Amino acid sequence: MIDKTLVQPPTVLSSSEDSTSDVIDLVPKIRASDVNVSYSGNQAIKNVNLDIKSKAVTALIGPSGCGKTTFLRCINRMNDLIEGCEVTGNITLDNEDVYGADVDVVVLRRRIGMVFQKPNPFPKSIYENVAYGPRIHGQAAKGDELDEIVERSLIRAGLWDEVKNRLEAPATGLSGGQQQRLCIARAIAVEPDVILMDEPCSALDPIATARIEELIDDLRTKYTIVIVTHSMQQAARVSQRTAFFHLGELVEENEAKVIFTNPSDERTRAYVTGSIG
Amino acid sequence: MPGVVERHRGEERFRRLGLAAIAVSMSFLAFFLISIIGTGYGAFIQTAIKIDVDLTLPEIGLEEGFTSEDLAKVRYRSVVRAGMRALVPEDLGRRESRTLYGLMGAGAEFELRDKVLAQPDVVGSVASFWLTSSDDVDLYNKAGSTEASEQQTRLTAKQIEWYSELKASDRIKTRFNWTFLTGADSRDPEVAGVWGAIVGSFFALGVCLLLSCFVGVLAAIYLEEFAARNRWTQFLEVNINNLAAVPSITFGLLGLAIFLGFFGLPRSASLVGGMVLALMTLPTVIISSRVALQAVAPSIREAAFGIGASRVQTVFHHVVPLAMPGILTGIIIGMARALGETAPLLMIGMVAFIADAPTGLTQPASALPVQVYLWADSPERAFAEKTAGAILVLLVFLLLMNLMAVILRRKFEK
Repeated sequence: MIDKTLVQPPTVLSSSEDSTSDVIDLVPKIRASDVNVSYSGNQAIKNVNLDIKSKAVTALIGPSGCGKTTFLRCINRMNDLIEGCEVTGNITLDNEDVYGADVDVVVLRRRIGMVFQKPNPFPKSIYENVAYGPRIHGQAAKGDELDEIVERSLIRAGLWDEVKNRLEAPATGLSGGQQQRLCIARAIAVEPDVILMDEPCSALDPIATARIEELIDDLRTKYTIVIVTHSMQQAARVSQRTAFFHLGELVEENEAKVIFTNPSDERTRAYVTGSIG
Repeated sequence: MPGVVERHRGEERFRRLGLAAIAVSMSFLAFFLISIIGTGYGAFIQTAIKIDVDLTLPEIGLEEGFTSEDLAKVRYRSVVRAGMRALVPEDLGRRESRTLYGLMGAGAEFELRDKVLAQPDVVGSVASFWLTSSDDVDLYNKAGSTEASEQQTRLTAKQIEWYSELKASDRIKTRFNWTFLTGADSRDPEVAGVWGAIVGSFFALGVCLLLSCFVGVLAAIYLEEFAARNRWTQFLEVNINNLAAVPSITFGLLGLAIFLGFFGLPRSASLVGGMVLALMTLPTVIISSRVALQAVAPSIREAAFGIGASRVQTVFHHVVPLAMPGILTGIIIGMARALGETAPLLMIGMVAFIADAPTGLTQPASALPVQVYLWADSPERAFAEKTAGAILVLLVFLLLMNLMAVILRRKFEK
């Protein structure tokens, strides 16, 4: 299985090593090989082979319906929840099979956090939103520890100063951008390794988007981030690696710079220059 | 533009039709309420006659140093009758006396006994008491002496004459009819009350609530959140929807066959009544709970799953609390329907004449709608207003339950 991934042409591990100034681990954090997904028989993605580097932002771009969100949701097995969805192939996280028989989805999803397209805070207080994850995973023994985790997560998500005086206020009263940052705080409160983001800025205005992008840039020092985005500018701004999906296939994956300036595939060039999309 | 005028006219037409529809339904409701309240308010008022009773010791057959047990054994019927005879100046024969006694209610002797026992210091003197009149006097008194009441009354000419004399000497008054709210069923309208039926309904609803709450809500949660979507669950769904539309008497037959016939549970008991009502309300509760669960935004489930909540945690920490207002509304509407249901209770024998309020789940009991049905069937005219009165009590309970639904929904939606 590992051999197969290594012979896959577009992901050339060595080339990324010497051309990037960012430190990127040699071993990929997530490795997908021959992933196929179908919804009640309709194939959504075909034979995707993709390595995702640790402590870097990987952007998945492509036109609507190209399967990038489907692929993203395979990584933390959110597709399990969709009736009739069938996933074949192999995805590993730190060389452990994500779809292995002995894998506990609950533990897996604690390690792989997710931020959704539309901000979806629980209709509870700001504090409760962040504290829920650590609480169900038993990560805080005492109330003080939990307070600490909540504070740390909110600080890391850049929301602390705005909400520290109203932690008991309902989360639904925050603005869209604040809600999305709260969702990021909620995701990082359980100390995941990977954060998946499914178009996290598509429902936000440009200023809120800029703040989230800044935040993503801060977070990549600690987490492996995979972000699906419609906006090529956003992908160019936040990602170190970019993967282009088209019609359910992974066309090309490379350093962001390369994808946007000198892609090897004609379809990628057409997409990034705006002639298809 | 050509179509605009016609379009405006169309909207105006629809608005008027809508208003007319509302007006028609409101007028039906108003008619119903006015007629029920108009008939039923009489059930809450009763007529009393003041008599002076001689409670001197030799008269009531007691001696100095009597106990309260002795006092309870006094033949109050004779005491009341003596008091009645004292009301009219002339000496009466046996038959005429009986006509006179007919003015007083059937429960007068017990009423007097309770009053004397409550204040034993009146013993040994002549005391005045207001005692409940018979239903005929009550009806005649409440109607006033109009031509219609003269024609309808069962009072004889002599009785009417006595009544007028008593009325003139201020020995007739109307008072609030506590007996109607505190008494159980009786063959005599003046002592019949709804308390027994209220207690029976309360027990039955309690059983029904427990069963349909647990079974119904859990079934809904399982079907909506855990069960796989396949032919089997679709089959279940169709059947549940069908059950919701099954005539309620069928559930009564089912209860009769299974609970009474097979399990041998006691007949007429509110326990069985509650179980039968639970069978009937289950489909309603399941359907409305499922709708409430479906209405919870999928993004909330995703959020919970996304941070690693298990299915049970997702459902019980996030989905169910959000669906709670809808689930509660469904339960209360189901309960309200169960409260008003008669047919299934008839089948399991809750239609029996029960003269005491039940004290346990397995005791014979009645229920409010059954009481309405029984009284509506009674020949005495005085039961007409009791029937309407019982309907009013039932309506008040339904109103309270719906109010509770609104309050609970407000509370949970916060």
